[in-house]
Amino acid sequence: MEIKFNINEDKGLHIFVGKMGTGKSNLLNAINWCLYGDEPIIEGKDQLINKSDMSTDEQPRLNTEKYKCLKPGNTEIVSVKIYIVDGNSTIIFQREEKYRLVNEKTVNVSEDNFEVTIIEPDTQPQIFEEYTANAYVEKFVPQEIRDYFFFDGEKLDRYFKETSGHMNKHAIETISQIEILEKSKETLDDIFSEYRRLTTKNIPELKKITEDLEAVEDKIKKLEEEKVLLDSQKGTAKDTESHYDRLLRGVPDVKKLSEEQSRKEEKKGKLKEKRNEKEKVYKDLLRKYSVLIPIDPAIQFVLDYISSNQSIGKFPPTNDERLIEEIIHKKECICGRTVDSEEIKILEKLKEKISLPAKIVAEILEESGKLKNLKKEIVNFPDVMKRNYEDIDGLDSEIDSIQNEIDEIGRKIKGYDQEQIGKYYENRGLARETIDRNNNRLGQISSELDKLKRESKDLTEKLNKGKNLIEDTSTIESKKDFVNNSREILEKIKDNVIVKIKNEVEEKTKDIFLKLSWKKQTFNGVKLDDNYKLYLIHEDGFKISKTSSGGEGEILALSFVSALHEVSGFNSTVVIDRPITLVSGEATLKVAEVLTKMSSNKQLILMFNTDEYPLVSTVLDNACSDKFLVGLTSSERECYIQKVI
Amino acid sequence: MGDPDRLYIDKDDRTIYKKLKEIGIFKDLQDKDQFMFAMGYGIRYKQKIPLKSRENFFLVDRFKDEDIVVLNSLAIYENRNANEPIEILKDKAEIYKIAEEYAHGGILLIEGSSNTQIESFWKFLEKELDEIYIKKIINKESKSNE
Repeated sequence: MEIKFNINEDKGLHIFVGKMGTGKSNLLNAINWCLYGDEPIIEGKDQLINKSDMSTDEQPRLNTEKYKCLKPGNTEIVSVKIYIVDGNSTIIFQREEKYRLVNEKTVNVSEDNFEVTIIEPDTQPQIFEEYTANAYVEKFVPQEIRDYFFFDGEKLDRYFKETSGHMNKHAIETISQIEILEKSKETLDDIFSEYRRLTTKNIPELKKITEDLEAVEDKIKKLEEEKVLLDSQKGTAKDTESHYDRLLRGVPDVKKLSEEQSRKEEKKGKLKEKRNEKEKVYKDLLRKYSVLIPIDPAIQFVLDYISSNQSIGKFPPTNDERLIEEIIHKKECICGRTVDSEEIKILEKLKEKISLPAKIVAEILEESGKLKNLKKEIVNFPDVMKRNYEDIDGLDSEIDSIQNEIDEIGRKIKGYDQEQIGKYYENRGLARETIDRNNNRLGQISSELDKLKRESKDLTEKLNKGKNLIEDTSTIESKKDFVNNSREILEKIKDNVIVKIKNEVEEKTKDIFLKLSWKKQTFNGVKLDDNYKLYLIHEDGFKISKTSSGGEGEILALSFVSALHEVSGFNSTVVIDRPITLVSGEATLKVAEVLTKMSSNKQLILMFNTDEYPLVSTVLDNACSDKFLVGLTSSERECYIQKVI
Repeated sequence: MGDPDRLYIDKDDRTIYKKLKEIGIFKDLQDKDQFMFAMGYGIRYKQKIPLKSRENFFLVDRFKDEDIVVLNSLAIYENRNANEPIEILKDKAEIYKIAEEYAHGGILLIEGSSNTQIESFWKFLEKELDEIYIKKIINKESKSNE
């Protein structure tokens, strides 16, 4: 497939429009792969969705149609060529990879080749490979700063909201090209040490001080190198943390949520057990009251019966039938006196009058207490049942509520690839660990450096005081001073160059931003602070570190990118995937207008989703030099690109 | 003849008790408690049916004090028209016989009600108890207070 852009001096805008998943991002990846051999946009949120039907093997770069038709032993080539026209010269970057089917499942990358061809008028084309080819890429767009040329719109919007200044600092140092100054300074340091050794080698006291000083300086140098390394690692870790923050924004921590879901399931299980116990109590109560309630009239009758007999003095009985029987039988009174026949007759008449046996009456009186308790229980029936219902209802609503929480978690994590998300969280955690670990170590280094610098200062003063012991060293001393002055000057030059470039970039960013922005009244400046973090300056003078979705973040990013390009001289094409994806409202058209303005002096390749492009088509259709539609063939295995403007 | 030492059910009722245990209405209940439940059901619907053929069910020593109180009250109430209703307490055999006849009537009714879903049975029972409680206990008490 060949994509040829119209070269138009005034219209450097090229547009691709296609549905999600048709392969627009592949274009950005193809450029990156061709120049640097990797595909940075391969990780996306869509990867977090569990694609259980996909092979877990790494997907080959070979397109699906070719991959399907690949026969064992045959070779297919994946190749990307980028043609750059620069005046009369043409530069061709080309990378290719060969694929061979080893067995039904495995595709083997058998070769990888990268070359750069330079075609100039009236000369034979020059072909460069390996190191030289890579050096050409570095001259075109250094890998270190490629993120400022080829990026996705989401990143563009969030770049200045989230990224630390580390990347900006690194980019500015890269374009300042200060490596040669650093190397020169290192050489001067070595010469200076050598001279110092020479002047003190014959004076034992000074020789010892020099050796101590060199040891201290060596430690300082190592610590400073470690500090630079740690700072750099910390910066990278901060960017990594931001990267995963971005990927994980709105994405649930599936592992944590799954654990929470299990805990809730366990809690639900316990509540259900409790509920079952309560239900058993409920059934036991129903069984109990199934006897008590129907028997209530009988209980009430007996209680009334006892009560009425008590009220008439019948209960408890005054005569004991068994005692009378015993007296009649023994003919002896309880006091021991013999009872005569007349008295027996009276006792027999009395016995006839006793209608109820005392034993039964005693029994029923004894039961009256229990009957009253049963009556109380019957009266309490509604309250007892109510308490039980409330307990069950309470448990039911607790179970419902916990079930809702479980379902909610289920909805949150449904369809996500737990393993992939887990890895993202793990990576973000590792980045955080690195930041914390490096911060600790940097703190230690800082105090160690303070101590060593004090030691170095003391030793230098001692050495200077002992200068009078040095005989006839004026020539070496003056050389040493010269070298020392030179390295100090170099250090200043290096700092000045960086500051100058930084100021230039800041100034340029401000100029471009104010030219591009439609909110000239709100913002009156741009600040690149000491940590290289970029801020907008409000008209009232305060710094704004976080922008809304009103598009100003994107404009700031684009301004910085353009400034970097202008200052560095690396004026390559800019490729942006979905530039308006996170801009909303009227800002969408404004951003489109800004992109149009930018394209008047910079080649811009923009890629849009079909549902986003209509929002900006009125502006961009007229401004672009060509527009392409990207789609999939009916087999959905290959994409096609059709030029429509 | 001494007092009886056991309670009896109708021979045919044995399978009903067994079935009700299996379907859960009598789950985890001892024979004595199953009997009391059936008796309550019989009292509620005034189903006092003499046993056709007796079969041993459980020993009287399974009864707790409250159970005895309930059986005695039932017998006294049944004998409420006699000169001295509590005289019946002298006759333990008659007390148990009354309980057995109500339990027999009750178990046949429970069998009929249990053909619905088990959970519906409990809901039905609960509703019934509520109704009886309101109609027969609350209303009666408010009348007697008037």
